[in-house]
Amino acid sequence: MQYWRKHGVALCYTLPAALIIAAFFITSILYTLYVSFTNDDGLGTTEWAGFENYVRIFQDMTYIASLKNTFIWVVATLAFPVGLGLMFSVLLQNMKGQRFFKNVFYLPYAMSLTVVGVIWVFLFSQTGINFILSRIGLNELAIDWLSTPPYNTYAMIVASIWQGAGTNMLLFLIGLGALPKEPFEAASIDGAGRLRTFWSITLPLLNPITIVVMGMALVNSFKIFDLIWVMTMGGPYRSSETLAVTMYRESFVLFHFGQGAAISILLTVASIAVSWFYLRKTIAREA
Amino acid sequence: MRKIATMSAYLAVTILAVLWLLPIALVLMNASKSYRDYTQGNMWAWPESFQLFANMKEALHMGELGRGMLNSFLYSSLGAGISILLAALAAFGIVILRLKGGFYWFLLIYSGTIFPFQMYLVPLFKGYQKLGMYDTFWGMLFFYVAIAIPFCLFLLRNFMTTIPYEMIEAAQMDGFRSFGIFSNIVAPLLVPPVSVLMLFQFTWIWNDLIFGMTLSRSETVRPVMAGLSTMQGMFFRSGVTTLLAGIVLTSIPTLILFFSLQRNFIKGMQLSVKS
Repeated sequence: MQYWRKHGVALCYTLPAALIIAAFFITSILYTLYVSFTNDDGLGTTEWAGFENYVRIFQDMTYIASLKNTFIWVVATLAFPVGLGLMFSVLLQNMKGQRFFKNVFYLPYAMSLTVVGVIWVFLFSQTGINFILSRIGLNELAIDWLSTPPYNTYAMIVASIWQGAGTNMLLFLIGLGALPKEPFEAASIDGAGRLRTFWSITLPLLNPITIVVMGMALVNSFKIFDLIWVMTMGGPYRSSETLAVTMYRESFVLFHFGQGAAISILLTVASIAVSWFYLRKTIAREA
Repeated sequence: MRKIATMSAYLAVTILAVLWLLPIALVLMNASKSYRDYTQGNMWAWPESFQLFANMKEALHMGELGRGMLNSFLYSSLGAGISILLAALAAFGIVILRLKGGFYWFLLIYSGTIFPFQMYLVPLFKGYQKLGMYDTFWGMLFFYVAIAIPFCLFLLRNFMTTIPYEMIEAAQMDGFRSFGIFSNIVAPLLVPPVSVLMLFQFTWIWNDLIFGMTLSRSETVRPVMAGLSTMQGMFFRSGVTTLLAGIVLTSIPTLILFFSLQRNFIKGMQLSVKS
């Protein structure tokens, strides 16, 4: 009551946003947590199931395949879009015409993942990349990319690289622009070559940015959904599902709400574990 | 030696740039073909006809993208605007009016961005059905407002902490009440972060697929990306050229925003990386 009298005015400003968040998301989180321990299958009889749904994720072949695909996505996203982003930024740094090339690599990021998905379904269809492959005599390589596991996952990763490398490039360019000049001058006086300078000076100095970029890429790759849904819907035979897609299919196609909820919780634990790494710093600084 | 290095850097960048532009070039080429032209040749052939606008028209009508684009335009502009206002008020309470325990209020609201969206899908779907908000315009708009608040609060709170407190004290001396301070002193200072947020949130809402798919069904409510993904299933075999024209059409708003306000995007990135 005293709190209200003293901070009532301030609370009036903060409360609307807080109430909306509580109503939409906090209650949702609690509900999902509860459902993940039940066998809710949309038929009305819901019983307590303990950790059954969680255990099943690591036993059922479908979910294990989904876990495996998620792992492939995470590793590939860390390696390629981040690596390419770094490469672009280093190539473009101090280059004449930087603006033009920057825009080119960034362009796909200005499109939605749904659109990117449709574009690459088109490119991976028979008359697309395969047409070129068979023209240059690589007939055996001209497979039906999106319906042949495990190549369907690799094909979608190519699409996500095309979309995502540009943002990482921008972040790295920001980082490179903020580096101190002195170490580079010292290195050039010592006669260090380009590669040597890159390895021993640029990369270590760039570390803080690299951590942020990798953290963001990691968290996003856990949750990849739109691209897969548009390109394969997780198929054929659920071979290209990741956890986010499996969750959607379990919940909204098969109505296994309990199982879907357990997968959501697993995703949450994974992505919070990663975010904790840099959230920790923010919270420690502020509180 | 140095010249060779520069030359090879240019060569590498040019090759990569061509690779990066190729998909877009192919989309534009084939979105311009008549369907006959497309089926008789292949996607790598130069268009013999120019049907881009006719294809776009067909995507708008047959593919029902027109309504989706209108819906998404309303969701994106209203959703971004309202959520920024709510977040600005909340940040004002926490930072300027020094709400006690403000950091915990901030954490409560900010927690909305920490969890993966999969946590929200089923409860919102069920709750929306119970409350009669499923598949309604207001239901969708309300959701987009809610989902955009946490990140807006995050940026605006950071920004407000940079406002010198003497300014607020001076305004209090001049007899301004709290809302007067908000609208006369603080709000005008918020223009840079608000323009960044407008851009971010408009794009985010425009590009959303999963919530549009989950919380709406009918053409009159469904946002554009959910419509596009349905259209893909129907048109991929029988109307690729229409589908591709639809892609071009639905990407235009965000592309314009990105490239006309590019500076703000980079500024926004710097802001979010720093914090």
